[in-house]
Amino acid sequence: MNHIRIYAFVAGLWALIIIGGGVVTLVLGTIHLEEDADTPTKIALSAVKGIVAILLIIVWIYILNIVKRKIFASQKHA
Amino acid sequence: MIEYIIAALVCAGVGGGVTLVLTPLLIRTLKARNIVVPDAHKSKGTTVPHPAGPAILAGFVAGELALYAMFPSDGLVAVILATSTAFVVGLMDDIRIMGGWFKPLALVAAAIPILVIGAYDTDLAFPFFGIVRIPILYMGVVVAMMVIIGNTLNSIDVLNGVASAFMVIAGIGLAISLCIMGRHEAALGCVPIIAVSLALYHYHKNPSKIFPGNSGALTLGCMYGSVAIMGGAEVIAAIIILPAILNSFLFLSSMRRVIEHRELQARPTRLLDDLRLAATDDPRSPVTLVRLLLLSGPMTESQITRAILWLGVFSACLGIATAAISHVVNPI
Repeated sequence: MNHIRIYAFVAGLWALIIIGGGVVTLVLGTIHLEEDADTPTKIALSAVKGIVAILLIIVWIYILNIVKRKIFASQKHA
Repeated sequence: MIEYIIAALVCAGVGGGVTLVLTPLLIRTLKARNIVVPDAHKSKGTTVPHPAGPAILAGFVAGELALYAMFPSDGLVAVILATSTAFVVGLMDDIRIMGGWFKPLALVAAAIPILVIGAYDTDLAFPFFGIVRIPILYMGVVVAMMVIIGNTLNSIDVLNGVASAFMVIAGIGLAISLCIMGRHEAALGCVPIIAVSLALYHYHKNPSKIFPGNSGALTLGCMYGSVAIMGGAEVIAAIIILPAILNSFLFLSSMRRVIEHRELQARPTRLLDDLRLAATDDPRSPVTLVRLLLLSGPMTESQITRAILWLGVFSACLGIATAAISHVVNPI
């Protein structure tokens, strides 16, 4: 039984989580407001961070979809 | 250290013991009232009582209360309330069949006790790279965790023994990771998960004497998710259950909408005459982890279960390794 591709898929998921975490920490995490920033500004920054995080998830899902199609096609023809 | 070991033994004994004793009583009661469902992967006419949710919840709450008696914390109260809410959501779906969107939406309620009690840290820890401070966004993370993990665990409850054994592996993986991260009290919160899942597995293994049902699967998922939030190990917890997340992803991306298994036009597998399972070629059927595993050829239910559990062991090792490397590279 050749399940190695599924293990590779899981490992790929893990790598994407780690890379996504790196982008969030090193890019989004470095954006800070001054201590005396007002609440609307804090909420706006949180919204921007949230939108970027959602965009990352969309990219994540797009990549996974490509990988899934390739694995499914190759397993089907194996 | 000795007090942690004693606490672990006590809450494992209490939690596992309650589920071990209550489950056969529940099986008898459900059978007497004819509350059974067909086992789709057995010969025609095979039925199994369900749901095991009440026995799972009772064991988990008893175990966590025993832990609370030794290490009182608001976090444990939040975990118990969140898990109980998930149980109620699942039980509603067990009693009265709801639409596909019911569980994802209703599970938002399971996040409320955690948010109200404040049993979470506003810093989200990413392995290797450190933490991100997201005080407002983190509330969304709590909601997403409960909804995704609850439903994800529910989605792999498709074969005899998979959900319970998978939770034993996931619980052990999370407990070891939390110990590595130095969060010993949160790690103790995993002990009832492991004990209850192990006790359930005794009755759930192939051939199942009882199915967890929606109430059982959502309870298992949300107790895992809430303990992960309490321990601040959200990303590690997600890594540990990657095969289940993969299954949900495959299902959703192939169906392109939230849909219950019972609403499917075509099943992802078909039962052969020798009771082995084979992948279907029907384009209307969803892509699932089981279907992906079966593309290499027909397998027995036990063989597929073992394949899924080995994937679970693999991802648990990935989670533990991630926690260990993160602890060395970027201790939090």
